[in-house]
Amino acid sequence: MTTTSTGSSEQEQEADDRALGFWLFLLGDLVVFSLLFATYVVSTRSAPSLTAADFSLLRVAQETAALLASSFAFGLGVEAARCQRFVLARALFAGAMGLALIFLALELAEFVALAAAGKTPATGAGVSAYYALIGAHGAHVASASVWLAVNLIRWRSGVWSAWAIENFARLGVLWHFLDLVWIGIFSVVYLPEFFP
Amino acid sequence: MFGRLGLDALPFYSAVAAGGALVTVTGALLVLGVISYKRQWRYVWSEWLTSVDHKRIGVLYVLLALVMLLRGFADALLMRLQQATALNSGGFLSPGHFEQIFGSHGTIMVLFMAMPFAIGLINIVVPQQIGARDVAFPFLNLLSFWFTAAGAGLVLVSLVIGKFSTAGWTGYPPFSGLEFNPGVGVDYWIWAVLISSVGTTLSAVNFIVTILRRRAPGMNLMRMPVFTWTALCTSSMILFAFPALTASCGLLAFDRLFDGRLFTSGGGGNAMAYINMFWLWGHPEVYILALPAFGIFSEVVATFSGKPLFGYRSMVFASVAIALVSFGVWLHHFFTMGASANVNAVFGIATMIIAVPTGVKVFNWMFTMYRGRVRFHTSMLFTIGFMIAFVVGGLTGVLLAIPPVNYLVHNTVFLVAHFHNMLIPTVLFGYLAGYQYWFPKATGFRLNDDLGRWSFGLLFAGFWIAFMPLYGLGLMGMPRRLERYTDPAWQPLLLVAAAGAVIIGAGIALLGVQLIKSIRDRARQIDASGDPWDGRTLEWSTASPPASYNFTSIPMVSGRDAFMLAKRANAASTVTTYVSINIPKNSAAGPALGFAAFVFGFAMVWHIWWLALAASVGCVAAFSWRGDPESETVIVPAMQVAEEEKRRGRMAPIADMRSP
Repeated sequence: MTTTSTGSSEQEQEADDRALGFWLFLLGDLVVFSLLFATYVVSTRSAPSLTAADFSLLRVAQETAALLASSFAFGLGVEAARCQRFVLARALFAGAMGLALIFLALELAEFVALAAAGKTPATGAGVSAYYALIGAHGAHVASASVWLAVNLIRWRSGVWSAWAIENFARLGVLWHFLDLVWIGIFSVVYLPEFFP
Repeated sequence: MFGRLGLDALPFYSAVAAGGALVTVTGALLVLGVISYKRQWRYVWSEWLTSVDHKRIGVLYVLLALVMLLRGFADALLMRLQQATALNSGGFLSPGHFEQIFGSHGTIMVLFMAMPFAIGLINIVVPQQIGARDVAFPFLNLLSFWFTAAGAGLVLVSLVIGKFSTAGWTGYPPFSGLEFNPGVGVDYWIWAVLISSVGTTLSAVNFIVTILRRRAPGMNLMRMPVFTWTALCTSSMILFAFPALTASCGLLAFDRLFDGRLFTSGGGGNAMAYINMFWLWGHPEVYILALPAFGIFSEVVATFSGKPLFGYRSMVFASVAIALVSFGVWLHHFFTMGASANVNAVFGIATMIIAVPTGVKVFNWMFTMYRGRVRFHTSMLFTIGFMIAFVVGGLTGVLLAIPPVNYLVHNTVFLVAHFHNMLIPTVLFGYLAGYQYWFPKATGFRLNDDLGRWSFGLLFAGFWIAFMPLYGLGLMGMPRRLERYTDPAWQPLLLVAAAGAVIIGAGIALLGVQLIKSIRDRARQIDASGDPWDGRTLEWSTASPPASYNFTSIPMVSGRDAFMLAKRANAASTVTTYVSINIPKNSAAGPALGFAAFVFGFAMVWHIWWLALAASVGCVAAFSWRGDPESETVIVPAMQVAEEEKRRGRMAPIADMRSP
């Protein structure tokens, strides 16, 4: 091996390695969520749990719309960054961030409303499992938002390096992953209550 | 402001606990004092604590493991002495304190002794075995270490501030729930486990990517050394198993923080859901620990028999089979749960099936020795001792796998005897074999072999004397985790077991003597060749200790036992020109993030919410603020590489492993 091989091919390999590592990490995270789903299903079958009367269909629809739109904006942002249109990319990422914060605010409002109605985790295992599953997803969204905030502060202006684009794209994978988990939550938690 | 934290957290409830706290604090102050006195802070900080060199990180892991081994063994000794004396009396430990001790013994030995030891050895060896200059993610590697250290730190701090969990190392609810355990003990356990498991998961990702993507040219999967194979299997298992631990402990934390009902007796809670999830991690964990040890034995037995490993292919398939089947046996930890007979039968049979690939391995090791020219280095003694003891433990394991038998001895010390009979020969002997075997590679000098043999002899004898009586006691009906008892028939055997524990203690003490004496005699014990045992795999082709970049030029591999092939073909020194090499830069962010994680855990334990929020947001933000990969490496110029090699007496490095 000679010096010449430390060129771009090695950098590409390292970028590939980082991508592989991140996907492996998500695989592990997926196992956590699958166990949370399993806990939810088991706990709601036999214990006091939440029903359609406890949820607001409108709020769930708003949450879903906010998160899906955020994911869409993020996807467009990554494409814009790859096309070197950084101003547009920044705007799209900021939009994705705003929508994620709206989602988090809605979720918090839901928790507050439930707690005000006396439906705290102490009500029963089903309610606890609900808070645990939704809360874990929300905590993920919040962490991803911190990451995005850091990136937006870090790359405020100018031309982004390949690393910056890669970093946003990596966060995008997490962003879409959390979207998919939400679709699972929507299908397993809310939908069966409204359309049994 | 400070949550539940107050002056009453200090351990004045028992003289033994206060003594333990005193030893911990004194030990920490002593280490800090010695470093300050010798004015070595700059060296310790820049060469070790912030180093991203995988060998240095590996050594830190092993040091952590050895420190925690002392703490875990101290717990063990206290338990054995208590049980030896507590016939019709309270012994010298209060019930609550005894519960803390068996909880911390298990937690420490599994998560803070065995895991760091395994990951440390993998760190030191695997990149060298596959002909790589470093792991795929050097900074992540440092971070993993510091997260593990943060978890271990929480366990140690629990000795001084507050109490540790009284719910055992498995933390079964409802006892570990808020209702029966409102104090901080279980929280210490939860957050130590959660924080360290983040580190372990990141390590697993790192090693999967490293092994899959960073092998030297020519080293296809079926040419990888068996230790690397087992590291790959173990990392994959960690990736799939540790999330189950995260989920179970995380949900238990949820129950405790928000007064949840997931695992409580009332409100429709289901404690068995926790226990299932816990063992969904816990059983693979047994093999996560065992597989690297199997890999170490495979390396040691081949090297010291002077032969290639017998049945390489079957060894690889056996490792992969164990990794897969180990995910399908978790229910055998609670056959008495009340699942149907058919469910129990399935898990019982799966458990027996896993003994098959394990048996294959034992035969492979024996046939490797057969007609070999066996040299009885300390690591080889540990290997042989392991094979004998392991077969006995395996047999009692198959006994326990039969559900009707399991009902009879469930929760007795027969079980305690069984799993110590598996874990001590496999994990302790295995990692100590690896420690003795790779020590010269990590430090540049050999350990004193005579003291090593004595240490092995004491550990081996002590093991039998300490644990065989427990089989008998279990059949006599003695439950595990007993703080006092009234049956006089048990005491003689418990006295024998206590004597065994003392002998094991002497063996561990000799390990310390061996280390000190070897350091003192390092000039005589020096390993100038880099290949003290006539090794077969690539890690022996580097200098001892290797340069930060391991290889001046990446070796070409043409077969298994690549270094042995090169030696046979006399293929040394074909390259005499040096090139500049990129190596990763040190990072203070590693220890800083680890400290933040520790603060976060501590704040969660004591309900200091503002601090927990600040630490967690800080952690995520700092982790996101990752430097450009370009700016995180430095170049070692060719000149410096040449000088480095000259200093290491390696004017003519073995660079090209191709046979002529």
